[in-house]
Amino acid sequence: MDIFGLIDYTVGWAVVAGIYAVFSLGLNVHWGFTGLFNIGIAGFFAIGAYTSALITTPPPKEALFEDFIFGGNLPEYLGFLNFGIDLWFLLAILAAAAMAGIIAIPIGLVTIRLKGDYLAITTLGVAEAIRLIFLNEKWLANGSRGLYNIPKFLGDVVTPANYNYLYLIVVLIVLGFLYVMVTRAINSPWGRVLKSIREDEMTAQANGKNVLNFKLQAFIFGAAIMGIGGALYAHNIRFVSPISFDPLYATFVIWAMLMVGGSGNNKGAILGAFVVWGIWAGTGFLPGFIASPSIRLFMIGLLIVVVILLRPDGIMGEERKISQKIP
Amino acid sequence: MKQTENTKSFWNLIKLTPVHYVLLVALVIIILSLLSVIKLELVINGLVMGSIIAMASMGLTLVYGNLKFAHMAHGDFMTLSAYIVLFILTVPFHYIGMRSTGLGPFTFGYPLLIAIPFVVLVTASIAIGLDRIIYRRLRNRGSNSVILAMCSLGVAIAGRGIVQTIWGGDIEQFPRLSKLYYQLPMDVRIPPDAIFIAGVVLISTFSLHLFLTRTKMGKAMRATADNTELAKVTGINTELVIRWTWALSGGFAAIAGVLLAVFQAQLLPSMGWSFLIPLFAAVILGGIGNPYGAVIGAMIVGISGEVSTQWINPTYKPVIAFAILIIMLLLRPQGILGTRD
Amino acid sequence: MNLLNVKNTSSGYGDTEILHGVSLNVGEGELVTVIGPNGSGKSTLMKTVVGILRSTTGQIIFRDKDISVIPTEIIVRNGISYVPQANNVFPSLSITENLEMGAFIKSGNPSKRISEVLELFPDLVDRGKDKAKYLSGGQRQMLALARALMLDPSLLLLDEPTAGLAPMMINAVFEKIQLINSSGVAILLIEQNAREALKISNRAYVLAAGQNQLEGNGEDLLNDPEVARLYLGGQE
Repeated sequence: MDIFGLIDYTVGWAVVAGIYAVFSLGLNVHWGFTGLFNIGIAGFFAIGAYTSALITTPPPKEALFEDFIFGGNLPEYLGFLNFGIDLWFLLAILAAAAMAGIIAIPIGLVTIRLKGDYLAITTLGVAEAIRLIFLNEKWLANGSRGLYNIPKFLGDVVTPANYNYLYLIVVLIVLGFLYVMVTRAINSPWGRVLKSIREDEMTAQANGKNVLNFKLQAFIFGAAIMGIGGALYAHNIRFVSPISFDPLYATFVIWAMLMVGGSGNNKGAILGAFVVWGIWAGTGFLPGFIASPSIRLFMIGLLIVVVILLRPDGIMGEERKISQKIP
Repeated sequence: MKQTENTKSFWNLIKLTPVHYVLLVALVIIILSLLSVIKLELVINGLVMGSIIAMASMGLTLVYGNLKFAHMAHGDFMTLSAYIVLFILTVPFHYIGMRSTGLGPFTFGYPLLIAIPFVVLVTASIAIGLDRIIYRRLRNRGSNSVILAMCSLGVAIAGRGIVQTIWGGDIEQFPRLSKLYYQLPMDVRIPPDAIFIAGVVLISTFSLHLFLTRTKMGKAMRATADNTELAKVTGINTELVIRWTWALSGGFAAIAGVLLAVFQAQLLPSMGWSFLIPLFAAVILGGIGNPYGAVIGAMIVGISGEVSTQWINPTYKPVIAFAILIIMLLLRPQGILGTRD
Repeated sequence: MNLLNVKNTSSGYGDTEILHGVSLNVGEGELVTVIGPNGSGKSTLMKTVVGILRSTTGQIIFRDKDISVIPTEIIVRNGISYVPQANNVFPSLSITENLEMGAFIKSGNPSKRISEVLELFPDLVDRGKDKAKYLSGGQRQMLALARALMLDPSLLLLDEPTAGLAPMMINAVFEKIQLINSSGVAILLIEQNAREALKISNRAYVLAAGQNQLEGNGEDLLNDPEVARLYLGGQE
């Protein structure tokens, strides 16, 4: 591969790593800052991706056996209101965030009051239920065939060959914005209450804080971020189907990223995403069967176990240690 | 909190224990099937499925009760054992040139019966080994149940990766030597294997019961589940109890994996992982740490899943199990046979 | 010759230190009581001796062996038996099974030892199959004591055995404790019913704020006006 091919590849890799970093941030809000053991990330991923896709996809064409009933076709719909800069993209992302956040409410109300490992099993079940619904209800989003006409953001500005560069900038902007937002939130009075809940729930409750409310808010916040990640994904690959939300790619690899980078640390979350995705892409270059997806599956599992055993704080450790207790 | 108090007094008024309710529901199901409102065949299928779930969830609930964490890799023990048996049946026996004919009406021959104890030993050893390398270290560190569960998640993923690496990700067919069915009244067809499955599970359940109530180690296991610190102070060797717990859990999971393979005749690397939700539903339904409860819970989950296919798309079966799980967690988190802490 | 010698021991939970350099000793066959206000570290002391908590300083010598570095399971094998204040029986096990667990360390049939121990606790005799969770508070306490005796210990650690019991039960428990002691078992006793405890003790220690305050004969401390004012008031 020549140097230009390598740069192209790296940019494509960085786009995916950046999107994963968004998910990692969302998980950090859930687990790192609130102590919620959410293994149903794939569910919010799917909701965000599908929402953004459905809003922007052109309406179904019967001739092509497209079974779904709703295509928002936002770019056409907005017409000149896009102001030539494809404003529909911003609306799609916001819609994805909102939908993920809204759906997080009933899920949160049910699961937040549950103990840690119960929460995990429940979120697993929720994600699976969401996946099955999208798979079986063809009228919703074309079932297993998926949506494949998702429009390109600012597709006319650069040539298709160079599009990744543009999208990378988009992803980094969104990532940067979310990083600032989450950091601000955590350092705010709201965030400090959250941290105190994670350290010692009973004391926080004794101080009159409605623990369940705070946890629910954090849950919604994190879910919305994951929804944004889903939207970014949808407009990158521009094809969304239930297979895209395989638990390996849509949940566990993100957990590995957060654990490696350092849960409780926003920079760590982002770093972890790039490191793990780097390992993932790097092994693709190794000779022979080591590059197969099955080995990568094994690797991700091994990574999680090793990090927990040897370096539970990850690369960067927690941002500010309030006490020595591991959450 | 007000809600729970109202439900508590409701139970008291009716003066029925949760077990009575289960029997009531069972009676209703029987009547409905006899009246052909529910297809009896689905109920029977549900019983078979329930037995397999019961086999695996007995082991899962033991680990949950004694080691106090949700073991996410339990399903992958099932997967591994199914694939190992597949290997044994198709490779060594093939080379030795043994032609196996079906054992009686069953779809398998005697090689399967030889393979089962072998794979039980292998899986039990792997379980103990994993505890030694991984979970014991976390235990000694004082890690809480969430960290342990997360670590077992990593083990589950790695396990599936190994299976997929060796056997590939496509569906493997489990060898079937016959395709008999028994035709019973009321439009019920059951394969003879179902009787084998039910028999194995019954024997295993009974053996576990004897073990827990008649042997010293079994009683020590119940004591450790009740109060681990008190057990240590009483002089019980809790590390030995834990090793036994893993051995039993792994062994039972191994048997369940083989039974599932026999019943479905198909293997997928994700088969065990997909079983996790029904398994946890059964465990929580029955009360964590209670194997008898797990069996009851498993039957409920199995039958509900199968019967639901009469009206709902079969792919939604895990959602039914999940719904049961959620309802149980909200209404009575200690399960049917569990006691409030 | 001291059976148990706690020297200058500190201990606590996580970052919080509760005991600051406490010392005490128990001789063969002695009945020694530790009294003091709530939170003074009495339970912490006992848990440290038996290994549930690790001491950070000092030594704990039992029959010439430093047990502060040995795990609980081994400490128990050396002849120390411990009855915690709460959750001191296995609720889902029957009375007989609870006692059998007490004899886990020993090989062979425990029935003989069970009958021996039950001689001291006639109330429990005909109820072998009853599950421990259905016992009354007093009966549960008796079962906990019986279970501890199954080990044939030389030292018995009792953490507030009369807590929460009706007055009649309290007397019964104190009687049992004396009976056990008279058979040669040394007892280290923590008690809130300080007056009663001091009456039956050989020696006693007063612990407050994680440190030794006073020590002496049971009778002397009972009659000491300062002790009476500070620690025995309102215990009638």
